[in-house]
Formats: sequence, C-alpha cells, structure tokens
Amino acid sequence: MSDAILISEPPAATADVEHVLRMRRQFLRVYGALVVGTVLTVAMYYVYFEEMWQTVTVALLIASVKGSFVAAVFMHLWRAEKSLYTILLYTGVVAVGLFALSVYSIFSVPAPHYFVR
Amino acid sequence: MSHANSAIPYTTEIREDTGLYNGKLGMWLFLASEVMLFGALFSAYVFLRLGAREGEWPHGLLNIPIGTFNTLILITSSLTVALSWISLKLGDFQRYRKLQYVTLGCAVAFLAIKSFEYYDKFNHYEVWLNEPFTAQDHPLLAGHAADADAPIPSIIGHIEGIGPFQTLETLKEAGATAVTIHPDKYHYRLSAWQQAERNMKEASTRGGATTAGGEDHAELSIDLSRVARLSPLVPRHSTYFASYFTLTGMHAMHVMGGILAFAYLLWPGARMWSEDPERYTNRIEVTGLFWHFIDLLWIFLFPILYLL
Repeated sequence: MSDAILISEPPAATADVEHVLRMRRQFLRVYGALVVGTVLTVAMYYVYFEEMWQTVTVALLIASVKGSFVAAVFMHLWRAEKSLYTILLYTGVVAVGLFALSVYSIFSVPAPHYFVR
Repeated sequence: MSHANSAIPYTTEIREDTGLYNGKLGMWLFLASEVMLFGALFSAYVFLRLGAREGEWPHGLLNIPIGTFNTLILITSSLTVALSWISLKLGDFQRYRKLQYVTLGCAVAFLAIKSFEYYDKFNHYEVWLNEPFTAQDHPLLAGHAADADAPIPSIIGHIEGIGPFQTLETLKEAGATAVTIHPDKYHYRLSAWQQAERNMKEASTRGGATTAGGEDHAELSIDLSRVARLSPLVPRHSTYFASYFTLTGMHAMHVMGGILAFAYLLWPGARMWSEDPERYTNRIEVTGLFWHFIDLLWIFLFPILYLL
C-alpha cells in the first residue's frame, strides 16, 4: 500500500467535527444496548411462559427494539431524507402484506401437519 | 462520448430531488429489494412454523451459547464499521484501517463458527425406530421425553464410525447391520421451558452441579432392522432444517459479499482515499449500510431459529 493512502486529512472541509463525535458516542451507546438486548433475548429462553405466543411476542419485541436501534442509529434512519422514508414505506407495505397473507392463509390449510416431514 | 459525460454523477454532491448522493440512494433501493427477498423467506418460515402440528417442530437442536457468541461478534462488527466511517469523517485513515481489520476478523470468525455448526449438523443423526422406546426401557434414554412413560419414536445423537450425509439405504448398501449412537441428553420433544425446568431440578438435586454433557457420550447399539429412517440434521431431515439452512445459508452468502466489498475497499480500492477522500468515505458509508442490514437480519434470525 502506498504512503499516499496513509496520509490523514479531513475528507470534507465542511465536516462538523462536533456532530461526528456526537455520532460516535451514540454508536457506542447503541452497541451497549444491543449487547444488553442479546443477553435479555437469551435469558428469555429460560423464562417460563404459559403460552407459546407469549414467548414469541417477547422474543420478537426484543428483536424489534434491537433492530430499530441498528436501523435508526447505525443506518442513520433517525433523521433521514424524505425520499428514504418513501422507499421504506413502499417496502414496508409489501413486507407486511406478505406476512399478512401468510398468516391469513394458515386458516385455510386443511391439514397443517403436511408441512412437517 | 467523453469520459466526463459517462462518469456517474452525484458521487459526493447531494441531488436536489432526492436529498442524497446517488450511491446512498442506490444502496437503499438494493436494501429494499433485500427486504422483499428476506421478507418472503421469513413469511414462508412463519407459515411453516404456525402450520406445524403441536410438538412436531424441533427444539433445542442448535447450540445457543455458540449462536449468542456469533450474535455478539456480528454486533461488534457493526460497531467497528460505524466507527471506521467516523474515523474517515475525521480524516484518520490509520484508525479506519485498524477498525476494518477488526470488522473483517469478526466477519471471518462468524463464518468459521457457522461452518463449525454446519459440520456438526452434517454429522449429527436422528434415528427413527419401527417400535418406539420409552425412557423406562433404556436408562440411556432418560431425559429424551417429558414423561418416563412417553414413547420415544426417535433418538438424536452422534453415530460412531460413519461420516456425514448417510442414510439408512447407504448404510445397508455398505453392508452395515447395526449403528452405535451416542444419544444427546435432551432433544426437541422437550420444550425450552421443560429443558430449563429439568436443568434446574437436576441442579437442585445434585447440590448445584448441572449434569450437562454427563450422559450424552454413553453409547447405544441399534440393529438396522429396527430402524425405520435415519437422517443427519440436514435440509432433508425436516422442514425446520430446510428452513434453517436456507435462511442461514442465504445470510452467510451476504456476509461473504460484505467481506469481499470491505476487503476490496481496504486494499485495492483504498487508492481512492488519496484521490477523492469524500467519495471514498461515502463508499464506506454505503457498504456499511449493507453490513448493518446483515446485522439486522441476524438479530431476527437468532431468536427465531435458535430460541423459539
């Protein structure tokens, strides 16, 4: 690798150093939250719930919170451009529609056990 | 057409209509298509999982500590990617490079651990019996069912002396007449909380010491005439493992793609830093978006496949 590459210089004259440092602190905090979320997810495995759906709900709730942190902070969606939200809105509608169709179709399957083995 | 006319515009400057530079917009459109892809796979999984008969869906066949460790590795790599982008923003290429070494190390470690898990599954067998055992029939099978009288139609464990991917037919063709299996202590007929309860009960009766692994290496010989079916824990084993390998395999391919992209940008592609640092920083940002998406996927895959 040539030495020219290793020269350090600010890439953008307009870079707001204070803003960048604030983002760095946010990244570290989110990392801490993700580690705690992972520990909670695994701990949930050993918690007794009466019904399966309760286990699923809690597990997916924790996963959703963790996923939201990643999307909002690491992927900068917290204050993104409107165009990005538009793309995500269409994507979300299709994804949710897919899930809704799947769940709906469960009720019209006559013999569910055909799907296992 | 001149070079200036054919160059991709808006690599660093912001487009007025989208409010983004083109690379970032392109990456988000790509990620939207990825959401569709994995959304379809996830919804298929939900469909199959909800359609499974009570007690039929396997539990406890994946190694949770290893899965947890892999989750932490991937989360850590997401942090180092984000911090490496920050380093470039601050003009510190050296620090960026060190952080990306850690990212690549985490990514390779993730795949290595995943390969180990896969290999273990290729060598781990379920043997279905023509006439079920009960836990009372054989002391080695204690713990394989919630109740002592419950039938045990199959046993899961390592089989001695045979390689991966064997079936009953291939064993018979090879002239085998019996298999020696080392049954796992528990398997999927116990739900997560049944296993947890059993662990706690055993710990209390043994003065706090758990017996994990205490019995799993005992052996049990089964005549092949008693075997109805034999399969390693691979896609043909069950719908669960077909889903597991499809989802984690697809995810692993994305991890490989991320490794290639980061490696390119870290070595040959790094020349751009000296020529156009802002564009290079943007490239790291969009590749980072892809990497965070991989992390996001795993955050959902881990509880769904390992814990539920």
